[in-house]
Amino acid sequence: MKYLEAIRLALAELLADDQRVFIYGQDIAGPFGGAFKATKGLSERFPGRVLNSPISEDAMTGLAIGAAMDGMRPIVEYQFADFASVAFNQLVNHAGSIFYRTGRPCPIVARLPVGGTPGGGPFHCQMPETWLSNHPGLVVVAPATVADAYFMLKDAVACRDPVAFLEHKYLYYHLEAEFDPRVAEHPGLGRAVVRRQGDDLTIVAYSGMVHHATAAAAVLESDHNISAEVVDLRCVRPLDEETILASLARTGRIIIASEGFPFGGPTAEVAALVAEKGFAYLDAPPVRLAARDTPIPFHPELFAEHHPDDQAIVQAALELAKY
Amino acid sequence: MSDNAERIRLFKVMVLARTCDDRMAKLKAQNEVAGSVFVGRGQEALSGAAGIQLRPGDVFAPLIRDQAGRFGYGETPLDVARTVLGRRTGPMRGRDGNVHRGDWGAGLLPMISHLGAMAAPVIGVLLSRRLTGKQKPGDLSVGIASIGDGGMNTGALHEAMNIAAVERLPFILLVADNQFAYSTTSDRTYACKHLVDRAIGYGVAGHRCDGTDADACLATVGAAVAAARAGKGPQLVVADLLRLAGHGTHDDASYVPEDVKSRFGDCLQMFERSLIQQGVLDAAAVAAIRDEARRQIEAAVEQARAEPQPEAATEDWSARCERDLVHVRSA
Amino acid sequence: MRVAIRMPQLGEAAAEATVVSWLVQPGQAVKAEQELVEVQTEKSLLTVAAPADGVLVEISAKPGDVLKVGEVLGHVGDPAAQAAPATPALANVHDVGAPPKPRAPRPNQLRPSGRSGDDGGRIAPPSLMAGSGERSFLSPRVRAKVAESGLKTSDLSFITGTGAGGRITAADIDRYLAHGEPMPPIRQAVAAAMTRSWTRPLATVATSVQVDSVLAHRRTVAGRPSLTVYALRALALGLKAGSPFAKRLYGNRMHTPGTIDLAVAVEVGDGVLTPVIRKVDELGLPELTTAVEDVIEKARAGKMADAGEAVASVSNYGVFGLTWATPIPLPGHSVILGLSAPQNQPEWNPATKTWDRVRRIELTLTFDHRIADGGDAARLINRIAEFISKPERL
Ligand SMILES: Cc1ncc(C[n+]2csc(CCOP(=O)(O)OP(=O)(O)O)c2C)c(N)n1
Repeated sequence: MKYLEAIRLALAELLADDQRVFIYGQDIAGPFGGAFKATKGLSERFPGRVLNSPISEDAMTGLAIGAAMDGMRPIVEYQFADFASVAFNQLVNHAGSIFYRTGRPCPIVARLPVGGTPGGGPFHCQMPETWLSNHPGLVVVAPATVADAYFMLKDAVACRDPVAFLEHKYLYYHLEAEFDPRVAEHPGLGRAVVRRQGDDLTIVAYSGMVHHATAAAAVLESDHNISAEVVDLRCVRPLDEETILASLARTGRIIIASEGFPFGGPTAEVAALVAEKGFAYLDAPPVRLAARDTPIPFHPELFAEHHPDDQAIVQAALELAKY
Repeated sequence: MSDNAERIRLFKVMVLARTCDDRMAKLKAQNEVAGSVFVGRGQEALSGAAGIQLRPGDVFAPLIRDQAGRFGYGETPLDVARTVLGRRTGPMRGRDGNVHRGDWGAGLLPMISHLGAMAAPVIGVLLSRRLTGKQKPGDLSVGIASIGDGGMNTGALHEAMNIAAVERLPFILLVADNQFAYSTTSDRTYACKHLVDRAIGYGVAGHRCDGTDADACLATVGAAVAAARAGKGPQLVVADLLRLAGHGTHDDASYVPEDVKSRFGDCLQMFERSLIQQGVLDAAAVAAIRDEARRQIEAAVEQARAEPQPEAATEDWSARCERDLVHVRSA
Repeated sequence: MRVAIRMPQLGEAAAEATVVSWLVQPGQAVKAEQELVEVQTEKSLLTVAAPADGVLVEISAKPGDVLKVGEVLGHVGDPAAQAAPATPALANVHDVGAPPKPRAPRPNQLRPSGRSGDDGGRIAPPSLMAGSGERSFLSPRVRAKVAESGLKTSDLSFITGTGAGGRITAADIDRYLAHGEPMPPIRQAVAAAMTRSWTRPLATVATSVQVDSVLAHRRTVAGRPSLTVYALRALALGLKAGSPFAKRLYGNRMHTPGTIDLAVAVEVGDGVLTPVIRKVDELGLPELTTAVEDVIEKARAGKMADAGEAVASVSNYGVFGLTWATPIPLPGHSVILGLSAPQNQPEWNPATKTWDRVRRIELTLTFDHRIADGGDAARLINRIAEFISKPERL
């Protein structure tokens, strides 16, 4: 099953099992089935519950908030996460504030296709987790595996807080794995998991970067005799501090890698976490690997150099291991 | 002309709102209130006419000058006093204040400050009602969102109105064109001849009325609400009136020119005059309505004053309702 | 890449050291860990090793310069880097303006993060390895481990670091901890004190003195003072009579205590305690006898009557039947006086023209040569011997 198919399967099951669920977004209905085909076939199977919206990200989100407060479990599909910036106000100021202000939960799920693809350019490749996670009240998750795409989407709908669900566009078609949703075990929505065990250093990543991290760990093991542990955050807000610190306590060294921009965000938060609460575990300063501090370039040559990849992680790990 | 029972009901709501606004402004002057106090002086007729049209199951998203509409829809003076005084017992528990109060469960939406942002949530509630089959054809639950001539120009508002039109939802956008957005005059705010002209662009029905004339407001808002209930889709109601106070208690509105002031009367005074002239109420009845309003507001203020404030030490500082996200899992 | 050669941590106390000589000349290739430069601390001559492979590109401290721990002695680097000495070590070739690279294979670089603002991502942080030349660096994890396992700083000098640049790692500590059990605290204290003391230039002078008169004299004094008491009293009076060894050294400063305070070594269980008796010069033999008995009793009971600072001490190694030894003065003491066991010896009596039997002991005086010289030590020991041979003057 592909990552995208897992999302589609989860959506279909959510629609089938829960009458409160509906999906709202641009171009998602009809035979077209969404810019990335996540909803293909669903509007036919669930008439009136997979609705095309106008290009109105702010009102799409406001609408979802109203519906959620009226008892529904709306799922909003943004065509690209980049355009959720237009919905910033409804997401952070409205959805994020309702529970604290009123004591009533606001269970919306914002599906955000994130991450870079060559040729995507500055406005179709961005990672929104940094600006979404700064405000209180939102949950921000970023599944990296096929099983997580499936389970975490269902868990996101079960979650009573507003959830930003980051789907990595590259993984949609490129990530494929066997899994049987009926038997597979899965951790809770806010839990980080160790994807690969290791002793010498920890690589923390999320979303597409998890795959660069595991590839890097394999190279470190085979070519450099360095045993790297990979922690997949899964949920970047709130952070599963326990799992991160437990891994650091074993390894003493940590790299935090992300496709996002370098200022602030989960990489900075994890670095701050280990400095504040994991200082006594550190053998070396934490290393952050993030994208360059420019808009994302269009040209594939420039694009490839804009964000860290497995080679960058390997090189950082080699330096870090020597510290 | 609406029936007299409805007119008296509107008059009572308007008096109560004016009394309440004045009392809250006084509390502010007495330094008992943190933050701002906003009043709806001059807008009671339009707001109240909308509030009293609503029934349980409807939705109302009031803004900053909607005390009359809030009372019309059932808000209590105690909720107002508790919120303005920041009491823990109020609907916002001291976490949010003044006009941001509301109750999602009662269909009275607690606004966020961002103008234009409350229209889409009203539409979301209405869509939810449709999707769950809760709407009775021909007698739909409706939703009203308030907006000013200033807020009419936010992208959020346009997006929401357009979606309402696309979905043909029973949504009424209630526009109080009070000539000013804070201090900015309408000619710097919009360039169409009249805001009601935008109805054509949205593809919705448009209504226009004199917002200083309570009977006109009752008739126009009543017709719009009735059309929405009947399934005729969204309705745009634009009323012309003047804000008879500053933007908030901190603002003396000295920028409002005399000739503009002379063009607009006070809806409450005019309504009272016509009710007396038409023999619907006599002076004693009016006095009794005023006294009752004062009594209610005073009682609410007294009770709220005696109630506890929030405490930082016992405050539940959690912005998420899921405390333990690590264990959140679908069934 | 240029890596600084820094003055390493130089043992427990020293905060600085003097450059003695460079063992490698600028321009010469060096290997990591190769000895580069000799430095002298107060206590010892040490060598500083190269922090990395490369070429000695710069010497910034010349012989005679005094540098604090952490200050830069010079740099090891790649000679090409000399051309642009102002450029910090950069981890990303983009940042030093390298020309565009061919499309494939993908360049293999560390992309540092954490930079933002107007730099367009062009400024890289200094290389992670910039600080790794310091062998003495202890990571927070290692520090925590040291604290948690109850190790002392002194333990660290016995641990071989296997980390970068010879640093101690958590695993090194585990390996160390796997050997035996910790020294008892009192032994650790003695070990630390003796090690500190041993870093000084010590020398010993000796003489012998007959003790028949003392042994006779003690029967006439209340409490029957021991030989140790006589020695303490003689040492106190000897110091008081203008000996430079009445002074104590604090770093490079000489301090003359207002009173003559002496320590007595008492063997207890695992080690030796050294309680102090104040103003020994002012105590007569009976009082001193009581005072000595008192501190010995307390020390054996595990109580230190007075652990304050003293200027010297007496060690009666003679009680073990020894005929000669050179005990080490306690840290901060300027001398230690040792007494051997009395021995019968023939002595020619010119008056009776007979060989008489006399009892003599050896006196040994080990002194801190920084404070004064052999002549001063000789004068002090002779005066002590004089007092012991004529105990009625004590
Ligand atoms: C999006 C947004 N921008 C700015 C403000 C600040 N603000 C609050 S009220 C106001 C004027 C609103 O004018 P109008 O919509 O005509 O309503 P009125 O106050 O006249 O009732 C402004 C600018 C705001 N609340 N929201």
